[in-house]
Amino acid sequence: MILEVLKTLFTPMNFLFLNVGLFSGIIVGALPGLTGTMCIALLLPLTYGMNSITSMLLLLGVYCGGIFGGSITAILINTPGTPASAATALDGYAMAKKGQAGRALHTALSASIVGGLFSTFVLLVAAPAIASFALKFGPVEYFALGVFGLTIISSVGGDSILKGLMMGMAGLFVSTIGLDPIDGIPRFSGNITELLGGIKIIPALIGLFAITEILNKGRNIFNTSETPIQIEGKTKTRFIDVLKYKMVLLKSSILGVFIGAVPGTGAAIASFLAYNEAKRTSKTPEEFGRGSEEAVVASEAANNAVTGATLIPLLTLGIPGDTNTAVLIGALTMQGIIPGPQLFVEQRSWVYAIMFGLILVNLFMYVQGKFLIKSFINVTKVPSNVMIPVLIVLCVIGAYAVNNNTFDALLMIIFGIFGYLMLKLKFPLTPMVIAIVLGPMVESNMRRALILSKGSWSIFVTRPISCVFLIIAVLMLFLPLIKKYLIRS
Amino acid sequence: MKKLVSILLVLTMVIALAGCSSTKEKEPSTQTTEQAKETETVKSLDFPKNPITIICPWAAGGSSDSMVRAIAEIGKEYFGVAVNVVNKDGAGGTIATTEFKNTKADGYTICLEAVGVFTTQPFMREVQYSMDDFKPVIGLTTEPIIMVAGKQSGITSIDDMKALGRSISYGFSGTGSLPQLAQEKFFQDSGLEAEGVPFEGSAPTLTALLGSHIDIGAAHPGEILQYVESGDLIPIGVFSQERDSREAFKNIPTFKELGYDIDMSVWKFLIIPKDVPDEVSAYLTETMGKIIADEKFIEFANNSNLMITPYTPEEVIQKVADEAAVNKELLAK
Repeated sequence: MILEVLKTLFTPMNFLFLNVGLFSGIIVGALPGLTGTMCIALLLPLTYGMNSITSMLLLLGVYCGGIFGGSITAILINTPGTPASAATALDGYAMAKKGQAGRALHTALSASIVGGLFSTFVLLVAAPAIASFALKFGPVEYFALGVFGLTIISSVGGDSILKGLMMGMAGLFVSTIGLDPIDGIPRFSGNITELLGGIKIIPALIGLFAITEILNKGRNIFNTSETPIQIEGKTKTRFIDVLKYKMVLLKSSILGVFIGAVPGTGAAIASFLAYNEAKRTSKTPEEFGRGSEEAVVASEAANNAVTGATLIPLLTLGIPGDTNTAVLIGALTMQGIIPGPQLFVEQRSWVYAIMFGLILVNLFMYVQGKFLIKSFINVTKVPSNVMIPVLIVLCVIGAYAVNNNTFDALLMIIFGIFGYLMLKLKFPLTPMVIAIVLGPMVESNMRRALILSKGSWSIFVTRPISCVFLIIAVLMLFLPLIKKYLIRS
Repeated sequence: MKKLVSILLVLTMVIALAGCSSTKEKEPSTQTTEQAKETETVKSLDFPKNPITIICPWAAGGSSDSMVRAIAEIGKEYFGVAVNVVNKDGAGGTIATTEFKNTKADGYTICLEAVGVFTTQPFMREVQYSMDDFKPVIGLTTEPIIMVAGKQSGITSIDDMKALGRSISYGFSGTGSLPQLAQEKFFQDSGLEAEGVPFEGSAPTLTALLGSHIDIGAAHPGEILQYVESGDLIPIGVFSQERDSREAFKNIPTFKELGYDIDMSVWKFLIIPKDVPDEVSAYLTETMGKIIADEKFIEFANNSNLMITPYTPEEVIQKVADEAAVNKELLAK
């Protein structure tokens, strides 16, 4: 059977479209606001006449490429191309500012490949088992997972935990704007129709990261004595180099696979969880946020480990794990292929062809990534008075393109100005981003759980998975304090 | 001071750019005009000369989106100009519909609608549009709503629900959606104790059903087909006047047969602003009719388990009015 699978896989057409997909994925992912999901939807009509394996490889290329591509701009200009790279921006950009942009990019690429291959391996050997575990996640469990995720705020909040928590609250507030998820009642939307749909993560993200950074840089734009960032002499890094972070790679990949396999979560959550875990166990946690290579490895391995894992519920149950895979299901339906329990039994060799195809996607991503990094690195040489106008144009286009709406571009600017003010007051921005990502998941699932339990809160501790997550969440919050106390006494 | 000036400069630039992109969008590009003239043959009507845009009020990748993209792909042969798809997601389609009211009434911009935008949303909160602001072009597709039970719930029929002796949980996609209203009406009429749980989309609803987090759910045939075949979900009934005649669904009874007269299904149609000239709207209705009768569209509809229902503009207006009356009463409770 393996021979048959390989025969259907190794055709020139497959290789061509896989690489077309990867290339467009990386470029689109790198542009702020434009995500792989959009690119997949745009390429969808192209796949009508294609063989189903070729079209899947094209779209998987876009998917994986998009997640890696987001990190390029996250590292080079502190503007995560997609939400999945928000955690990478924290230390990747700090590395770039130290002149280690090349090193950061190569590290990110290698870690992405490790994460991607790890998840493909898990997909190959354990998909059905993991899928049935993922089904155990109902409203109660999602709520607990979300609360656990929110505890990260305490560790990315910078010097003042209090300021971090305040920004987290601000983010949660932002996530409540719009129609409430259960009763459909408008909240805090005034009479603005556009606000009814809620505040989308991408305009908020571009505003808080990119526009804030632009405003900050804009202050020195006429300062001609500004010394350009010196690029470190040795930017060549080998794949082997990343393997010295064995434990970080392994833990982040496992976290990524776990988050990816649970439908409705997403790569952004995975990378923040991995970042947090790496920081917790690091020998040099004080380096995190100041350009730690370990941090880049953690978040990149995790967000790419999500790619293979989202295919677990997709191929075994027919359930999309995130928006990207939802579009993939659409593409398959047009081909007359319905992913799900039947598919695994009836078309085994097709399923395996897709899984092996994902390995190829990851291998080619390394080749293309190496090549593209060389050209992208030149971005750091562009002086800021040229860079800033170009960036503003890209950001506005990106925010507009999310929903073809100028209102989102306006929102982005508001977030940017807010972010700039907060930066000046030394409030950290990342907690707000995490809260905007997790807020809707926590709120809607808490309310769903309470409908099911008829208002009884005990449901959150009587369900085992939920109970475990909540205990870990409490420990994560208080362990640092307890540790400090113990050391003092 | 210098700093302040530079910040202001940056801001004005940003605002100017945002302004530019909005005006640009409204000017139809003229790239394909020539191509259009070539294909223009006997038609006396000088339409279309520019690319046509179809607005999809739901996100890229969903079932509505893939249908619009199929129409756009087939449509460019029939119209002789490019057909673009623009997604404007949010608030159950109401954001895009509100905005569409003010679109230039030249027939170059068409909007997809699902019936709920006019028959449920207006009764849940104030909206800034009504059917009078628009002209229907044509009805497109209809999807029945089927009630299913999870395998582990032990429910296979309405009698099982009555014998269960506990409150039943039912899931659906989105607050105020037709799958919600249909189930709510069923539980009201049957007097069974039940609580509804809204999810964000059909996929999360079905996931919760497969994981036994809820007992019952309602969804469209294409969404449940494979789970019914694998035995993971058990069909209870379909909320339509007649059974779905397709092989896989023909054994599922209607709720009318089961003693509950509930008739709800999701159907989609196209609209244009009401001031579009009659010749143009007649031309659009005719051409769209040809597009959805094209064998490529029929194949798409079969693969996605959609029934093609090409209602005339008058039928669309009538059906919307009838269904709105029923839902208004239901939502007022």
